[in-house]
Amino acid sequence: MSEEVILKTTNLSKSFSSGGAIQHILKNLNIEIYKGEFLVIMGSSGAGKSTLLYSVSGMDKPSLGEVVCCGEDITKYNMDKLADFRSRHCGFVFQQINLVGSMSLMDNVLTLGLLGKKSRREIVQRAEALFEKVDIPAITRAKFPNQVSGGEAQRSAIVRALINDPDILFADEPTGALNAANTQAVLDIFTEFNREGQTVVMVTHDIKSARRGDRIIYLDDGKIAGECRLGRYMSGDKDRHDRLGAFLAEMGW
Amino acid sequence: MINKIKRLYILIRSNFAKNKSRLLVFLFITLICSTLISLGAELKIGFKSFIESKFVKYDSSDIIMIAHGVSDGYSSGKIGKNKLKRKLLSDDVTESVDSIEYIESVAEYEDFGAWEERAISIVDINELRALGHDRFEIVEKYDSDIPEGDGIYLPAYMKYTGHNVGEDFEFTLKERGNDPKETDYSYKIAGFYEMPLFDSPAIDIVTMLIVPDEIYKEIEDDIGSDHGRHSSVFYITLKEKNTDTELLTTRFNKMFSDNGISSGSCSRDNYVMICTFYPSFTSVFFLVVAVIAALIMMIMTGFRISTEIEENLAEYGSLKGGGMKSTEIRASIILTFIIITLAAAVPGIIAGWLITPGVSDIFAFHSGQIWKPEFDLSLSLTILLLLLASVLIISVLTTIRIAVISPLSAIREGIAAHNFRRNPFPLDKTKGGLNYLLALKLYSINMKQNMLLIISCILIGLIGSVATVYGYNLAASPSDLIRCIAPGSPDMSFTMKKEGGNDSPVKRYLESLDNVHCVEFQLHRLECSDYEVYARSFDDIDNARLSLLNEGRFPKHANEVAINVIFADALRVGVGDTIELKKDNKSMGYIVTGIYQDTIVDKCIYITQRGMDRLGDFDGLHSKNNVYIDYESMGIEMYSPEMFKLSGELEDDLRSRFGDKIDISDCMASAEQETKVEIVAFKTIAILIMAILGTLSAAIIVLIAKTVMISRRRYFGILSAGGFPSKMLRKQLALSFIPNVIIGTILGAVPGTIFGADVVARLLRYVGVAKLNMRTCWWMPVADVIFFSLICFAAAYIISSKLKKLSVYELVSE
Repeated sequence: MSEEVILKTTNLSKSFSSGGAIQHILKNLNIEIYKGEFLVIMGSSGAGKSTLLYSVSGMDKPSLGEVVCCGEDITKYNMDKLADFRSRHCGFVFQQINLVGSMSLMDNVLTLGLLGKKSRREIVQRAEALFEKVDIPAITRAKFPNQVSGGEAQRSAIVRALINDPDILFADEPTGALNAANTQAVLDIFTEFNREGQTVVMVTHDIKSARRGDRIIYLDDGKIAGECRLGRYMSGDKDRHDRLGAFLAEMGW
Repeated sequence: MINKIKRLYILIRSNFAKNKSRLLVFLFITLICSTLISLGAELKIGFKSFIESKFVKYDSSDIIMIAHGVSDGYSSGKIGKNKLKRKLLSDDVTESVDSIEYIESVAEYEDFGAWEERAISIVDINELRALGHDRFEIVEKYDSDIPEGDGIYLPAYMKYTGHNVGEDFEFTLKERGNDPKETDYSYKIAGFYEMPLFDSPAIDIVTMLIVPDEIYKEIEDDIGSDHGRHSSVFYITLKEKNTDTELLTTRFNKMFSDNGISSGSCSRDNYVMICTFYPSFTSVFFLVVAVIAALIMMIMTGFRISTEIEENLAEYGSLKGGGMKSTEIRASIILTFIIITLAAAVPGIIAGWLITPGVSDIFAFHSGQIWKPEFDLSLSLTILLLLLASVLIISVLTTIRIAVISPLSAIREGIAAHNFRRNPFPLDKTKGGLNYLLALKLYSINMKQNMLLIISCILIGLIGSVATVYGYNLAASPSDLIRCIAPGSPDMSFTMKKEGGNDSPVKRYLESLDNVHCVEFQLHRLECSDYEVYARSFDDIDNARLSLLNEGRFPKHANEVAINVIFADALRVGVGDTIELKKDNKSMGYIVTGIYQDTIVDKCIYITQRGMDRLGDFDGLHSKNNVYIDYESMGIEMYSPEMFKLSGELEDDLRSRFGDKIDISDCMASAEQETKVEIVAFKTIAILIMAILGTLSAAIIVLIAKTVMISRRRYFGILSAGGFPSKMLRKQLALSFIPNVIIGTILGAVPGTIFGADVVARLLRYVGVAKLNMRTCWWMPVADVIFFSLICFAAAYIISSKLKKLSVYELVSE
């Protein structure tokens, strides 16, 4: 992890209006995310975790404040510029996996890969390498999402998120729909890529997943209630688990 | 019961709330459909009823006979009008006649009264009124305070030729003789009148001016004893309204002719047929488009309901699980669509009724009829009930699925993902642009939409291609259109004047010109099964430009004839049958070898000169003396591909050389002149139909695109999250419809282009069109495909702009 700030928010706020009433989800958030960091965002239900993730990643526009990511002030971008920004800098992994059901796993990956400027051959080679890395054999890659297990599907979704070599990998509760074995596998992949220098920002409400993070930000009612620095993840680090537990207990988890 | 109604109300309200925009599109399609049906039906049924009702309104006579040169006021050796009336009454047809009345008229008769090349007839308003009941009505008057003596009344259609009340109307009356004196008259237009049989410019009889006593006397005094410029207008009323007035008119004409009286005539049947020709012709097009629109509407209803069920299957399952009966759920869906149909059809039918006069006005220059249709409640209710019944049947059938599915299956099926088994166009193996490949993928997974779109495009392509063929033929060459509808016209025709009709010098001269081909003909008036028919006999029938043959072949031998399709239908004869032709007292049998179409002269036959000679030695007379003797006329028809360049100069040249011997008719020029407005009108109709079809196809695409955007919302969200800009997604969505639009339009447009003209001709057979000789080209279906593809692409691209406004978060989290 370097000291270089890859993403910075200044007074980030997000509101929704519903039935005439305005709901303030995020309130003047100031966050810095460092290159190569594995940041975990936690918080109670409705605290604004996912909203924060989507607001800083250019998936949604903040209501107020500024988001500078990879040197670009994305708050001024329109939807199409944001799309271009996402394709160049971001990768996403969702809780509901969100693979396109009508496409094979390989096509799901290539669809986003071919959006960039690299040649088809390069993209196919990178996709194959990534699939190898997440342990998806060639025969499975030709299958449709509903023909593979949840774990295989989520691992393919990670490949899709990484196909364009993003600066930041955003993950919104990536293990939320998986069983224990698959959860472990997915988290291992995140950790492995992070060790190779990939910045990861993950929203989770699972303590085992949160343990993988270098730093934990806890949100409560749209504000940062606390922050915990855990350092690099090492398997079997018992102290790490206790420190996280204590932090979360302090936050009222 | 109240609870049931309440529940139903809640469900219907929810249906509307869920699908507002898509239901609006469906409403729009239903609106177009009902407007077209209403318009077509009004034109087809309403206009004819209006024309026929005028006979009742004015207690009109059924036949008008104008006997030229007949007056009590002179003695020329000819029969007087009273005697003529007695003769008419003593004729063997008088068992059909209820009454015969007549009034005097002056100034008309061929060249002796002229206004815009039509003969005029001037009648005294008081004499007309003295007939005892209202034969006419003044529909527009300059000022009711101005006494009638100050102006004249013109037929109402002249309003369309730029005449207005209060303005001066000028006409010229000529004397007869070699050096005729011309007198100009100018009177104020006091108003316009309506009078069946006289108020249509399409009836080539005379233009009748109704004038007050003072003016009538003034003109009569000027004309004086020139009895050739007097005539009697006979109003013949029949006992039975279903009597064949055409047949009777033929008999009266013959009786006049036998007494040496030249006559003009118009019958009720002829008047109705001519006045309703274009509205009927147009209504066929609108009704065909309406039927197509109705079919599309039915398909759309089925599609909308089935997608509605698919989208809400889990919800219906839980409602059924909660104890709600499937009949209630079905009723809510059916009622939703019935309400929409009702909401669209009622204004649609009213809109059709409101538009109808506008469309009929396009052809008012032809019929001369100013039609303000009254709202036909029974017709409107019939259309409404038909539409409602169709939607009811479709929705009842489509919602059967709700009745048969168990609550559990509904919930499971509702939440189950589609089970895809085939991966078309794999991206790692297929070459091509990403967006195009993804569009193809999107296209290949929407089978239900594909079927719907293909069927709709087949129907649209079918009728669109016919409109294209018509539009092209109209735009390419008006003279070609004339030949399509009324083929057989020469470029120029020369008729020998009765005095010294030797055509040899003319023919020799014409044949010396480059690119000119001449054929001699004779025109005879014959009888056939009590009808008066014209026979055109040719020396060189193989080289004459004859009408469009519908069946069989043109005559080659002396015992053969070809007859007009309308006449063949009237006689109930076909190819191979024998008809009997009679000239004076000699009659001969002829085999019908061919049936052709001619919408201008329906009772006409083609015959060889040798065939004609069987009824008399016409050819002999001609060749021996070169003098007009026994035929109505003889002449030369001239054909030249260079005619459009030649006509003006050639006509002047021929007039200076042979003006004393021949009457020249520049057939193409006059036909083009006469049909100029019709061509503009038909072009307008063709453009209108293409516009309607374009709108319809856009509406279909909008409905489907909206459905795809909802059902594939997550797909777009995922791609957008991955960095696809909205432009690419919109392009992808729009492109995904194009293969179906292309396939469907080709499937419709190719047979439409090849067979469209034949099908339309079949629909128009009752107006004498049996075949339409339209020019078709390979690019016509291609043009249709491009036209509809562009419209569909644009419609889908524009409607998908909603994708631009939605945040990815909203799309993915849906």
